Amino acid sequence: MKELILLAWQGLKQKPKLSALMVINLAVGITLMLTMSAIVKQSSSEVIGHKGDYLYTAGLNFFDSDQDVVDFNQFPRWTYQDAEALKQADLPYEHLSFNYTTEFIVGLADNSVRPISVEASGTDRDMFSVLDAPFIHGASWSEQSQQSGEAVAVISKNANDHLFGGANSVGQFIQVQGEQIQVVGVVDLSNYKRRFQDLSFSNNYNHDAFIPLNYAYAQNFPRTGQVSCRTDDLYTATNPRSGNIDMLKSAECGYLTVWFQYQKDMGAAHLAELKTWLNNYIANQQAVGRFQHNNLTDFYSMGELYILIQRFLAWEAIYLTFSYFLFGICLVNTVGILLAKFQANRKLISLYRALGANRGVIMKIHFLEILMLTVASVALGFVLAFAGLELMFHLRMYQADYMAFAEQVRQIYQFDGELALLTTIGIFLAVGISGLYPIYRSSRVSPAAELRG
Amino acid sequence: MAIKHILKLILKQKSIALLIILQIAITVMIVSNTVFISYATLQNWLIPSKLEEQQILNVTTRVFDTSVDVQSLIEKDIQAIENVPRVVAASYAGRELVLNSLGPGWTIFKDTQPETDYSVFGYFGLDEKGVDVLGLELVEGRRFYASEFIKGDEATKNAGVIMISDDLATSLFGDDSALGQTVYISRQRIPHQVVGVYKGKMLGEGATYNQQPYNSGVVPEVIWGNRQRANYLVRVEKGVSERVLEEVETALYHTNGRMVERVEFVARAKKRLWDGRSTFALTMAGISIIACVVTALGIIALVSFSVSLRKKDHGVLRALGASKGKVMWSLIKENTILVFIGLVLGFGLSILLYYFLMNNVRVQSVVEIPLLVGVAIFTWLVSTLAVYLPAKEAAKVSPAQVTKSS
Repeated sequence: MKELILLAWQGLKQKPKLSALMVINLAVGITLMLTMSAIVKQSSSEVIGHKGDYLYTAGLNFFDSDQDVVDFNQFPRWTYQDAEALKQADLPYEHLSFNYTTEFIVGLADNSVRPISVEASGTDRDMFSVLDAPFIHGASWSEQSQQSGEAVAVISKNANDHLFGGANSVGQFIQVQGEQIQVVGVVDLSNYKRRFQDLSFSNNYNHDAFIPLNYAYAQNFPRTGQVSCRTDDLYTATNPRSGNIDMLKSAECGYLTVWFQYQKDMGAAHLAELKTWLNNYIANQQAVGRFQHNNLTDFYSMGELYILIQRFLAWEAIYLTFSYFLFGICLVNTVGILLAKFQANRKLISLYRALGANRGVIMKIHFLEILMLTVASVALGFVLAFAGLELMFHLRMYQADYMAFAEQVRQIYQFDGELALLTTIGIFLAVGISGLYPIYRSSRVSPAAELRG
Repeated sequence: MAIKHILKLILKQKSIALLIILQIAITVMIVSNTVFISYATLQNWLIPSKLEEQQILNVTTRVFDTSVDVQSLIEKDIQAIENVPRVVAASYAGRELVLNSLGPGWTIFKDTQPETDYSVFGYFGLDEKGVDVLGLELVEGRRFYASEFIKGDEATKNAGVIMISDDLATSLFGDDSALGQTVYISRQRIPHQVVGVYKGKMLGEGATYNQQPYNSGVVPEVIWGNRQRANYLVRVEKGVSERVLEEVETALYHTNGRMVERVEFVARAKKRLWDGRSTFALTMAGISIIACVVTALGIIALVSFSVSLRKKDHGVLRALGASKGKVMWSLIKENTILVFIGLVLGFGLSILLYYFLMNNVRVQSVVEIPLLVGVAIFTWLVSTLAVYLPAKEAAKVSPAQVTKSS
């Protein structure tokens, strides 16, 4: 074996230019493929991806019948009255959670730090279970604080680092719109690649504060996420983003996103119960003139949502398609290079054959040679792919005009061990297969025939 | 060597020829679409802003403490900004900032008929210095009278007068003069009388997105309370460095109950307009370069192989009196024929991909014949360069050496 490796090494050195050409050619293809597939894989995976088939969101459409509502993106959010009706209903689920996105400026009463503008979520305790939120300090607020709408908040690690220098801030107060809010917990969401809880799927920022819905209502924090009303006139009249909260509570304007988390394995059965309840609810409401659209409800599991958001990744998908194309071309080139290389080596092969090496040995030598070249290409490809990911990360930050939370954006521009392993295996297989013909051809060289000239 | 001969040679090595053609075709497909997209992006970039991009600043601040007296804050802020060295003037900016709409774009109508089409425009509520901060040049009518300026919170009634850009005037009233006409703003159709028309500049973000970059209007209003904002437009002297951004921020920073979100040159806001598209164009350009490199490598490899197979033929050619240059030239001609076939195929694929991208991804892309010609010449050059290396090797074959055996 050692001899064979030595001979393969000799072969490599025989035509150094062609060897280098093959390594560069393959490495370029591998780099592009690794970079793009890492981005696409990371973009479409999520920390709580394992809840794919028992975490659901639903849409309930109160629009007029002439409004176009084909898929989930166009569905209005839940209105206050529909959300309340759902909360009252006796339905089986592990967690039912509502939220709306808001925005405010957070500072400290003593003005010891510069205030920051944050996107926040008006929500309930169940949200933290839905999110599997990793608390680094404290915990969620109590059921009682939730009911009474106490001034409490769970803040993100990011906000905690800024406001409290990373110290345990539980029990401390933050100041929002002149009101003091007590911090009860700190969560670290920087591993969450996207903000899915309000269906924005934003990769730039996650929520930096969570406050009880009732407190958000009491303070009338504006609704800055998706908000829509049954008609434009109603929207103008209600001003659902920052207008009077009591008016909003009775108006047909949707702003809440809902999540149902079911027990594992019970998802389908319990979802069916929800559907039945909703159909009854709709029928009752139709009696008073609501719900005239022909497309009234829609349900999406977390898994389905991730298939849906592939659509936002159209550009990345194009890059990935091209990178596969180019890797294909690189493989074809590899065949060409190997053919040229072995053709140039005919005399040597012929000599080996004359000295008693059979075809099998020749094949083995060449196979080893290809293996060495591939290892070098893969190694170079990985190094370049790290640079490629870094480049794509910076390009992405440029695209966001540096108005994004770098730590979170970076989550998408990272290698993933599983992907790296699978790709490497794939590359070796692909190169191995494309090497078969050149290897076979080279083994057909007859002994001595080439030695004449 | 005659073309017929070359064709015969190509047919002899069908698979190599086919591989080269395929590579050229795919490369052309990728490169030409990159060029289409980049060209469209470049066209956007090159829309003249007609603005002094490095002389106007957007300043966004938020007043989060409800007990702050916003009116006196605004007065103090403007004073503080104007005290910064090399600042010429500052104006309160109630609605949009330059190329930064801070919300949905604004619409404007020429009447109140429900079916009338609207124009999208940049809507600026500025104080007495606003017109000069933006550097607007009057074409027709007059500037605002001092008595027309109004100040107050959200409940304040609109001023009712407006200056609009000549482009907006044309898009609303065609060749008729807009002066003295009434225009209606937003869905609520709030009436405003046009008192002046100025030369259009690229001011509104929404308007620019709607391909009406020079549509804009200015009203003499300092109205605050809109989502806690207290924003300013600032004019600075020519050639001022980035340091002025920090100085303005520092001038505003020490106010309790308010945070300074951003101080930036209009140039930065303009860059942001096309960020998404330019990133796509840049990435595609990267992929194109890789495609060219890969194809060039492929051609080197395949031609090397084909040359090594035909070493003897080349030797014979040389023995029969062909010069080194002739041998090389025949190989380049051979490659050119393949490139040509690949180009035809590639252009077909390019158009297919173009339609796919237009329908599936909202990219801006333009097919232009001169661009295609450019891509064709470029592809030929790259491939010829790639052939040159192995061809040089082939031409080195000495006449006598090859012919001696068999």
